[in-house]
Amino acid sequence: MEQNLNQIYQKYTQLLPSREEGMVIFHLNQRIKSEDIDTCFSRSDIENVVQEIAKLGVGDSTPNVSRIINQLLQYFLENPPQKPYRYQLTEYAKRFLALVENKLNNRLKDVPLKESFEQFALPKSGQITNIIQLNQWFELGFTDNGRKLVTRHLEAFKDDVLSLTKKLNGILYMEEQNARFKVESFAEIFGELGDRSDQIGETLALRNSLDKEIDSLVDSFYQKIEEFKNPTNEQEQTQFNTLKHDYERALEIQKEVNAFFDIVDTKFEQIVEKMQYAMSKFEDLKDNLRYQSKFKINTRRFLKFTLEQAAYNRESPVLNVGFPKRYLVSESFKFINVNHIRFLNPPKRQVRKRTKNEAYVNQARDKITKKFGSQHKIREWTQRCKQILIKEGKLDFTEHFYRILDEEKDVKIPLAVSHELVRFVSDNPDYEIVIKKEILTEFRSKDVLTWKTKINHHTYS
Amino acid sequence: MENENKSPYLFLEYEDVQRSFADLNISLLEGRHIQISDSRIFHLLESYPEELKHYYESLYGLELTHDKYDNESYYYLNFPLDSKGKLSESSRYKLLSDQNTIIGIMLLNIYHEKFFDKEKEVTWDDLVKIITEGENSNLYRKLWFNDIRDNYDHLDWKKKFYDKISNTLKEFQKLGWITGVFPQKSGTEIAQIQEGLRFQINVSINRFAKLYEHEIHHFDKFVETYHKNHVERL
Repeated sequence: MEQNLNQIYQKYTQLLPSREEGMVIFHLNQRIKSEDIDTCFSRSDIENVVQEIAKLGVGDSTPNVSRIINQLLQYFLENPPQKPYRYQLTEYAKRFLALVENKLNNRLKDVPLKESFEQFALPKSGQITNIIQLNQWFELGFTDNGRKLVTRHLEAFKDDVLSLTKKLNGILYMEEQNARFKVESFAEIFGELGDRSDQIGETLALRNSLDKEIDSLVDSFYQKIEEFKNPTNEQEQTQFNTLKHDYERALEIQKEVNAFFDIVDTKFEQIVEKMQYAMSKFEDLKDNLRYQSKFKINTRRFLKFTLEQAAYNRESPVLNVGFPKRYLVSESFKFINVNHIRFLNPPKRQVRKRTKNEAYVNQARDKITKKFGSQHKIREWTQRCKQILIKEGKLDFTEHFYRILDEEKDVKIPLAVSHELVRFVSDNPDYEIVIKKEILTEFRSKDVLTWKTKINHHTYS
Repeated sequence: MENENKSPYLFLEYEDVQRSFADLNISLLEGRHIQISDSRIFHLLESYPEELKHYYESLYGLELTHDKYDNESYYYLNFPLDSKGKLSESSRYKLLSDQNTIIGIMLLNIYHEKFFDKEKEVTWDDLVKIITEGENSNLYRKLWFNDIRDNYDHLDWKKKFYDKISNTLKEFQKLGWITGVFPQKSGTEIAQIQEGLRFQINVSINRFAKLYEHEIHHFDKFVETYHKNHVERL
């Protein structure tokens, strides 16, 4: 492995092209597709492409064509057989182009996820009876189909959330559009996000069936060992070892499937959190959209004005003398504040155009209104619980759980509130959750049962 | 009757106040904006808002201000109108420098442009993109590099841009406006800055919107008056 890493490190710059070199590959491929140049192109074709790329502002304004060609000749370009003065894209270059194309326009995301997963990835009851069949299902059904499908849908969902969030931010700054248009645009976007989220959520729920199926397979392999009598000769010992090996392989497969779904669950939850945040922001906006939009537009105009009033200076930029200045409280102490630092991944951005479908927009709007309703309740209850916690330093969550359930008649709401509170506590080390494995007598008759749960500020623990 | 004689400073004797008050007091007087990520001292502000408000008003002549944006609260000390309270000595307050003002207004805009994003995060690549491709690109290029070119080399980015803004970013971190990682200026290669610079804009960056509330809300009128005064100054 170490040797492999060393090899990658040494060849990294040749394996992955620079932006300038990459753009040359993309441009050459486009020209081949549009039949402007032959699949076996000339050096002057490459020179033309390099010059065009330079005009886009990528890389040097006077690029060194020989250097670029030499660099690309390592893995991306080759001389076709019998044509020493011509060039063609290598298989590696084609795979690289396909990889990027897939990332930008993920075709699999339009394939119905749940049905495909059920068809390819779920082991059919009774069809697997030995380890060879289980291996086949794992390699072909799960790894090659199910895992890829879920991963790509998840990637597509993440890209959608990021690009649509960017679009949402943009709508707020549309000066020429009225509030109604903006609300409709928001609803349309949330509808798109909600549909994809539902589809992935439903598929992840299939995990239960998958777990059950694999559990019973693993049990059946174990059963075979149990039923095998104690080996008394070499032949029986070999048979016993084979059964043991089959059982261990089945366990390995079970572990890999579980690990995959655990990662997917976490990623899915992170993306859904981003989506829910955007939805809750929209809810905040509903009553003061016009005001917020105007405020944001004016803030942007104020920034432009500030920059127009500023000038370069060797030490640091300076503002025009007449620009209004502001004071801050600043008593200095010899004291160092240790700040809370969070490390986060940079968001990826991608823009994708969509056509408008009126019927779909209306359906999406209804759906989103329903979602907002429960989202609003969750936020309201969470706020109330947090306020009690901050004010009183403690909260009997069991009591609140049933209170919420009684009032809202929807178990998803108290569950979501408990999830929010667990996150709040994990972000705030001053609080702790105390769970006692007992069910209080007064709640024993309820349909949903929960352990006795309290949240305390550390001063009360 | 008993309440009438109760000292407004009695809260200072409470155990939780005694445990965290020094940190809170120093942070506020240093100009820090306190928000939920400052967990312990934020909790104190939420627990004794009226008592602390009275404390700073009567002993320092300052306003303990509670602002809210995006349903998130933040607190800071502010001067009353036309006075600097007991901090009138020049070492006890500071004028926001021109550079800090420009970067503050820039970050305020980035925060609002990410309204629907859960994380208001900024990386080196984001800053480069704003300067080279954003709608105010030419103004930024002129401001930081003194000329408008298609490309700037690594030395330009390091010396003319990062070395200048890094001080501001560190100051803003102390003030609570941002939270992040800022590579050292000296002895740092541009590649380390490109990979290492990463920060989160906090809700309290909205203090800039408060500082320039009048200018933002009455923008057209402000610009008109500004230009009129400018002509008069000439």
